[in-house]
Parts: sequence; C-alpha cells; structure tokens
Amino acid sequence: MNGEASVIAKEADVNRRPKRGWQSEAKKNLIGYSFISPWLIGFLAFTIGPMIASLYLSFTNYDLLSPAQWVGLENYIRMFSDDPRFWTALKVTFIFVFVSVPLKLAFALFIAVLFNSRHRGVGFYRTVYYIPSIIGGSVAVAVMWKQLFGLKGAVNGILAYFGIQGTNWIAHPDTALPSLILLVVWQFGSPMLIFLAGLKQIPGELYEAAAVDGANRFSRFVKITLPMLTPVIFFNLVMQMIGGFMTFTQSFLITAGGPLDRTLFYAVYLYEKAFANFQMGYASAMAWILLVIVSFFTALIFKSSSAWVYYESEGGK
Amino acid sequence: MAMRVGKAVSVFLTILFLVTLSVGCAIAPKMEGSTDSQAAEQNSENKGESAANNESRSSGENIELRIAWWGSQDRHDRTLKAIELFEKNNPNIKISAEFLGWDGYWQKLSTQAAGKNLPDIIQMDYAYLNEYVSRGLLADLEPYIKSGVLNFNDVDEMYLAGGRVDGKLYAVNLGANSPALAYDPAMFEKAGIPELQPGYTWEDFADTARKFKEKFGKDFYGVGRTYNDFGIYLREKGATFYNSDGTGLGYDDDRYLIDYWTYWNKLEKEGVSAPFEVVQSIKGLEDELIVHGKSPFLFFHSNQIVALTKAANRPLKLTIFPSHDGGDKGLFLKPSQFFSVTTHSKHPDAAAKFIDFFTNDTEANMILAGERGVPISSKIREALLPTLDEGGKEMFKYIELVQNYSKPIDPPAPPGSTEVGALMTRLQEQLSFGQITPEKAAKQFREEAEKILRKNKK
Repeated sequence: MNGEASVIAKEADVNRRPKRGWQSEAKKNLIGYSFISPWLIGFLAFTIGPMIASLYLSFTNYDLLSPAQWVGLENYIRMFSDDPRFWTALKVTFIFVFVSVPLKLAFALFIAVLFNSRHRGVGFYRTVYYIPSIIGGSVAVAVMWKQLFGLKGAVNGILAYFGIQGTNWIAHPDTALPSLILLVVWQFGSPMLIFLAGLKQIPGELYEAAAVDGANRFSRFVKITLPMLTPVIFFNLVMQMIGGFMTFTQSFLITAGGPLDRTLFYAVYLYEKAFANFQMGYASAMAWILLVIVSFFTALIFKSSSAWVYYESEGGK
Repeated sequence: MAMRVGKAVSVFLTILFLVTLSVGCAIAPKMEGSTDSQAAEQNSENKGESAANNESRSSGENIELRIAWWGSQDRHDRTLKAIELFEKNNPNIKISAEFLGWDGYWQKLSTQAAGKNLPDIIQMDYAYLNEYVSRGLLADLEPYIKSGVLNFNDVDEMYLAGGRVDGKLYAVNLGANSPALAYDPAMFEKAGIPELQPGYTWEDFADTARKFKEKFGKDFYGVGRTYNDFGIYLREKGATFYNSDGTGLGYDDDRYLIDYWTYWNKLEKEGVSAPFEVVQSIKGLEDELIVHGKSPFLFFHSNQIVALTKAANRPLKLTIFPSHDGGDKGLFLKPSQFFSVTTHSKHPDAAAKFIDFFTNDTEANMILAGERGVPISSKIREALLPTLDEGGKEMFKYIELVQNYSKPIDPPAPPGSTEVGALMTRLQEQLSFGQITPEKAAKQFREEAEKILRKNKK
C-alpha cells in the first residue's frame, strides 16, 4: 500500500516538475523543511542524537553514575560468549514474535472481513473492537490483565464455576508467556483497521465476476481477497514484527520477566541491565544488536515480498 | 503578488522554526529525570549560581529543597504532614517531594544522578550506601554536626554507626530496625501449640509450621514467604555473605547454602509453605497470608509491624529468627533507612536542618509515629512510647529484645549486590519448580556471584 502510494507520487512529481532556477528550488525545499521542522528537530534531538550516544556508550562501561570508560568490544563479546540470560531473552522474544504476530494478523484479518459486510450497527462494533488497541499499550490494561489471570482473578472465577481449579496463570512457567501472547493478540485493533481499509479498496467487480463464474465464498477469499490484500498484509507484517521485537510493557508490568525467565523479553532484559544493574554500556550494546536483528528480519520480509506481494499498479508484479 | 505571499510564508515559517527550537530547549532540562516542574525551575536557577557551594546563611533568602523517599501510602501521608510542619516553622524554605515505591525509586535516582540532578535530600538504604558514597554522590555531614545544624546529643553512637563510611557520616538513620518474625498469638492458642520462645531452632520452626499445616489443612500454610534471609542463616554459622572488601562471597563452604535451600525446599515440597503461585500473588503487605489468617508466620522487618497490624486489624507479635543449636548470634540492629544530603544540593545547610528536624522535633515524630522504625533520639523515644498503638509498642519491645540476640551488622553490601540478590531469587524460583537441585544451584550461585563481585577488585 505504501509502495503503491509512493510510486504514484513519484510519477506525478516527474510529470509536473517545472524548469526553474535552483534558487527557487532551494527556497521551495526550505519551505518544505520548515513545515516538517518540528518533527525534524524532534528526530535529530531525540532519535538520532541518543542513537549516536548509545552507539558510543555500547563500547564503554558506562554505569550512569561515573564517567564512561572505553572498553572496546568487551560488551559485545560478553553478550555472545558469557551471558546465558541474553540467549534466554532472545529465545523468549523469538517465540513471542513468531507466535503472536501471525496469530494477531490472522485474527485481525478475520475480524476485518466480518466487519467489511454491510450489516446494521457494524460501525458501532468496529469502534468497540478497536478500543483495546487504543488503550492497549497502557499500564491500566497490563494491570487489568494481571488481575484477570491472577490466582484469584476473573478467569479462575469462571473456571471454578465449571468446577475447574485454575492456577496463577501469570506466575506459572508454562502459562505465563501464552497469557502475554493472548493479551497482545487481543490488541488487534490497529492492523484490523488497516486491513479494513485494504478490503474496501478491492473492486467489487472482481467478486461479481467470480460469483458469476461460480466461485464459492472460500475460493473468492483465497483467490481474490488474499492476493489483493498482500500489500496490506506486507505492511502489517513489517510493522507488527518490529513492534513485537520491542515489546516491553506487558512483560515488565505483568510478569516482570518471570517466572524462571520465561517471559524475559529482550527489551525487559535490556531495561534490567541498564537501570537495575547500572550497566548502561552493556544495555546500549544490546540495543544495537536488537537493531541488527530487527533490520535483518525486515530486510528478509522486503526481499521475499517480490515473491508474494501483488501490486496492481505495477502490472501485476 | 504571489511572490509576496511566498515571502510572507517563508518568514512565518522561519519564526515558527525558531519558536519550536526554543521550546525544545526549554523542555530539555525537564527531561533530565525530574517530573516536578518546580524542580526543573529550581534546577535552571541553580545553574546560574553553580559555583556557590557554601550557601549563604541569611534566613531571608528563599530556598527550595527537593526530597525523595520510597514507601507505602501511610508513609507518604505522614511524611508530607511533617514537611508541612517544617515549612510552617521555616517560612523561607519550600520543599517539593518526590515519593514512590521501592521498585521505581532506585531507577529514578540513578537517572537523576546521571543527569546531575539528584534531589537535595534522598532516603537511602543500607544496601545502596556504599555505592552512592563511592561515586561521590553523598555529602559528608560532619561539618553540619560541628556547626550545630545537626544535633545528635540525644543519640547513641550505636544508632549512627550504620551511616558511616570510612568514619565519615554520610547518612542519618531514621529509625532502628531489625529482621523479625511476625506471628499470630491467637492462632497459636486456637491450635493449642505453645508460642516459640527466643532461642528456638530452625528445626523447631519447621516442626511448628508442619503442626499448623496439619491442624488447619487446605488453603492454609505453615509459613508464607520462604527463603527468608540467607545472610542471617550464615551469620548464625559464624560466616558472612560477602567477604570484607566486597570482591567475593564471604563463605567458603557451599554446604551452608545447600542446607539452607534444602531446608526451605523440603517445606515447600511437603506443602507446608505456600507454593510459588500463591507467594507471587502477594503484591503488598495487605495481601500477606498472615493478614488473612492463612498463615501464622511472616518473616520481615520489625518496622513493618506497624503497617501489618493495621492491615490485619488484630494484635500480632514479633519474635527473633530461628537459630542453630549452639550457633552464633545472627541478628543485628539495622538502620531501617537514612536521609542523605546529595552533593548535587545547592543548599546542603538547609537540607541538614531538615534532617535535624526529622530527628529531634517531637511534634514531627508524633506525626511520623515510628513508621520508619524506632527513633534514634532517646528523648523522642521517651515522648513517643506512651502514644503508640499496639503495633508500635510491639516494635519498641522487639528492638529491646533483639539486642540480646544480635552482633554488629555486616558492612554495607558491595556494588553489584542487587544483581547477586536477583541471581539468588532466580535460582530459588528454579528450586521451587524442581528444575535444579540445591547442590547444583549452590554451585551455580557461587560461580555467577563471584563473577559479578570480581568487578569490584581494584
């Protein structure tokens, strides 16, 4: 979807560009930059600046309280050779991302297809189902989840009604991570909304033609909806994966990484290193490794996209 | 015409550009860690007079102090009231408070320390004292004792000793405290079990817990929190947790830790102590099993009896930790917490004055009511005792009792101790779930703890 839009914009740009001197061109650019200056300043001061600082700190033993000392690659070496919890955190995060993201997207798509119909009151339901995502990242939801899945939580209350003795879901090593995955999948609102927008763009004639040819609902979904939606799926997949790798709040607030480090997300371990153990240098190094990992998977998805993402505007390529 | 509009637009945008730039700058000092707008104001004001280390004594000058502490709601309410009283007595001093729970407290302080923006007065813990002093973040308070701002005439040196590092006073004890075991006397009576008398052993304790479990059965536990305090267990064996210079563990024989873990692990497996899931669902003192009549015991610190009795709404008593047959004394008097003046403070004199007020003002201590532990000033203790509730009186009595079973406290924990503590908790979790044997856990603990502590070698 994104790609499509930028391609169109580029074409328009080429066609309309008037031939004038570079001075007025520069002036135009300046106006453009001025318009985005609030974002630009924020980006430079609060994103690029700290990033450069963290790159430097990742080669030091900075501990927040005393001045940083250069230690070369020590942090990186220690991470890979001498920190079993780093590998635990990686494992937990990978399981989390590779289970929660597909589930969330499937669920979001399912609900979006349901909402794409023209039943009465659909608008109301759309809003209601979007609400968990608005409040999703917040502390309040995490605390609520903690209550729901706790030893005396509502989930166990309902189970007890059926005579089932529940456990403390968030404190049991086997159920803690699934509880968090459930929470994240439940917050499917924003990919759902994007899917919905994508669904609306699929021309109705395609379905009509298919119906005339005798295609049933299922094959219409598989042969028309899914291929036409691949740019949106692509976009959602990239965004959700990046978000998944950086997940912090849910684990930090609900399980604090425990029990037995079963929910020790990468970001939570990074935070622990930085602010509980005062190893800011090490934490910075961890952040850069995460950036490399996320970049790798993003690149992988982009590379693979030519095989499965369908852009109508590129003549079916 | 079009040209002119273009010019106007670019002028406007340039102004906008500059405005956003300056707004960005104005926000910057706030981002350094403080959430308090007053604090940010004061911070920028301080920058102008950064050289002025020694504050002028003129009482007319308006001074703003920042103070930070951790604690429960009860503590917040009491402390804020005491601060109000101080401001009334000292109209030229304004105090802005930053208070939160234990967990976030140290993280907030460390970011403030990194931004050179620590509050003037911070509540300090024994475990962190060394770390903060070694990084030069705390002010030496001796000059203020000499100048008479801090008055310790009614304070025994025993109470001050905990706040000294290399002989200099960096932190003022806010109350005497000691590890303790709370129990419910009514439950003992109901079960027909005699109360534990000081000098009882670890085996006595385990047997009593088992009897309680047998008597009251399902959903009841002989003891709530397990794996209470390995440090005390070690002290009773005549050993210490850390070695004297903090570069390694203080005990050579892993047998101690294996025995200790086996002891608790056995009670856990027998179902006598509360399982992990139950302990995990305890989020505050109000949720403790003893409060809800589901266990007769709770290991904690003596000052917490005030809040615990309040939560349980029935009398609870304190006794000492179990001991080893023929073993050493393991308990100690501990400063429950301190106030320290930070080196970032521009008004250390006023800060010291506030600490003096906290220590010696009778009215203030009536408000505080020993919630931070038994007051260190003998005068205050005398004045306070008759006014205390049941919990407070029990705490006073216990602090007297425990001195017979105490030896001097170990030096403050070395840097890295929080990491070592977290390591111990993680291994205990693995024990709880039967994923590791006490032998293997003890070996792993030694390896990893030594690795953390080795960094302290100079």
